[in-house]
Amino acid sequence: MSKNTILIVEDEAIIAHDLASKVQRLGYEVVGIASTGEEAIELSRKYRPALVLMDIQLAGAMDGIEAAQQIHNECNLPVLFLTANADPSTNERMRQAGSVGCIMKPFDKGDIRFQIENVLNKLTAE
Amino acid sequence: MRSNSERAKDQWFDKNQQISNFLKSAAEYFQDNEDRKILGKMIESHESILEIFSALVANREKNYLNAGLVGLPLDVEERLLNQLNMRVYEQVLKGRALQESSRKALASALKMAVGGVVLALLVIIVAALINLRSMGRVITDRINLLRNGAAVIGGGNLDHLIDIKGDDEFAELSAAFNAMTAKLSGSYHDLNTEIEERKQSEEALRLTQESIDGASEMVAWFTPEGRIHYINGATCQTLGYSRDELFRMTALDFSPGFTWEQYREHWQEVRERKSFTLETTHRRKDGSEYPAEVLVNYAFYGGKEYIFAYGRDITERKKAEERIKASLAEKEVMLKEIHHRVKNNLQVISSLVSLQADNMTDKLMREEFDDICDRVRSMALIHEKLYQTDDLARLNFADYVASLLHSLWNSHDVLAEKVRLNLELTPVTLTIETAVPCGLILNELAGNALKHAFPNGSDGEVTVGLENDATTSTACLWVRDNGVGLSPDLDWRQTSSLGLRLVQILTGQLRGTVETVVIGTGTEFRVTFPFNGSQS
Repeated sequence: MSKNTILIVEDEAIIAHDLASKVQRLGYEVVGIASTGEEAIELSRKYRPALVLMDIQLAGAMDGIEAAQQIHNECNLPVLFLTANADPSTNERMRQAGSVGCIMKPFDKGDIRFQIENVLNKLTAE
Repeated sequence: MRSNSERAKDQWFDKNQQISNFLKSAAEYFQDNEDRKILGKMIESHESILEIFSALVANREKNYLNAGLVGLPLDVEERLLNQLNMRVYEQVLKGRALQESSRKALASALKMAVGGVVLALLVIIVAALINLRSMGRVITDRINLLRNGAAVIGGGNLDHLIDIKGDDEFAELSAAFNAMTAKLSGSYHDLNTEIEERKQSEEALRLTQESIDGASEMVAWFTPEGRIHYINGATCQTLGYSRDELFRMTALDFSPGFTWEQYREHWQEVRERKSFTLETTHRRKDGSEYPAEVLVNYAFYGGKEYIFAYGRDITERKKAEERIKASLAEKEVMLKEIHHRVKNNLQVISSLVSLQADNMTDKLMREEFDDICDRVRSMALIHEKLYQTDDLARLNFADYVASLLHSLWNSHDVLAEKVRLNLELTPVTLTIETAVPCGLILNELAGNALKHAFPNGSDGEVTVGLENDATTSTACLWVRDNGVGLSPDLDWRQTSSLGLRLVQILTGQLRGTVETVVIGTGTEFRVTFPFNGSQS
């Protein structure tokens, strides 16, 4: 597991690629882009990225929080959520799924950089 | 010592003197001539008697003292005695004549007196009869007037007046009668009015009773003991009990789960609040239950307390409410989903622009594309905030301003490191129609200040304020910097800058005004606009 590798889980392809572009510009390696929860779990098992950027609403039966819960349980990977809506119940679910932070959509590169660096620096320090 | 004959002689003379005095006084007393004549003769005879008796006495005394002497011859004495007897006898006869004359005179006088009295009495009686007849006629007439008047009044004509004038008792009685009739007429009129009003009240009461008895709503009166004092047909029909059955029951018998303790508390609440509506559950005779809405009114009549309850079965309404709630919840979910999708689509647009910008080598062009991303983000943030509100139509714009500016400062991290952001925000609630253009205006003004007020990496401050004036229902959004300020040669209203043109266009859309204030070296833009929201 490289400390600069990131898995992007986003069912909206354009957003996923924009996010990948921004992350790469910040100097990180994107190990893959998943559009479903199942795919995210599979890629997490496969690449063991340093961080998973996870959208909550995904295509398929499993949403981002369920996928994050499983990834957290199986791979113990930190998950940084991407969400357009952060109501209290969603926040609670994210917290229980091992969330390490949240980037609000529409995101900007400043927020992305701050959140990613914050999480990874904290993990490195631990 | 005196002898008997001497005492007899003295007595005789005394009597004689008394008779003489009597006759003389009688002669003065009697007025009648005949009487007076008789009395005169009687006085003369009496004097003769005295003379004769005196002569006889003297003769006897002389014979007694001169015994042997011879006095008057016996025959003379005897003649004197005879004369004396004659005189006495005459006196008696004259006395009788006087008595007879007096009697006759007395009888005559009495006769005359009686005649006068009788005549006077006759005159009086006749006068009295005439007077009585006259008075009787007057009295009879007046009594008739009274009797007839009383008959007319008794027949019901209380406006009739008994016309008896004068100052006698009949006139007074008539006046009193008329006054009494007038009062009676007034009382009769009042009584008629009251009777009419009572009739109308009774009719209204009967109609009210019928309307309540036949009302579709349940009506019941309860006592503090839980007994039913009155129920209408709808109550019986809805609960499935007969009227008699309900009268034997208590309120708790058809109120499942309601205890006596709760009933007493309910009564206390009714006493205090007097009238209110509550929702409860009723149980029918067949055991089925239904939701009911009951209006309870406290009443106190005749020293007794009642609850007047008006209830209705609200099963259908409850079902409708559930349908409406479900429908509303569904629409809220849909609306949230729409906001989410709009926001997601705006993110897609932002990402498209961003991806396009990634391929640009021209720095200026990249900045232009970044500006587009900022504008899209300002709109997307509106939907995010709306999504988080309960009514999904209005948002706390102060909260939005803080979020947008922090995001803006994050996206321009290099510039933002040296520019301090201050917020002076008053909570203002805006609708989406007002919030979107306001958000775009704020994005332009704050972005301009951040990017252009502090050239060459200089430090500074940007302060953003939000105010509202409830009296004019206007809000003011202002952005102030302490940077280099606008160039004196620059007419910002005529500038080709898209950002400032957007500020003017969107302010116009808000039907607001925008003005600039020069503060020291910096600049302040003030956008004032009307809003239909309220202070949070």
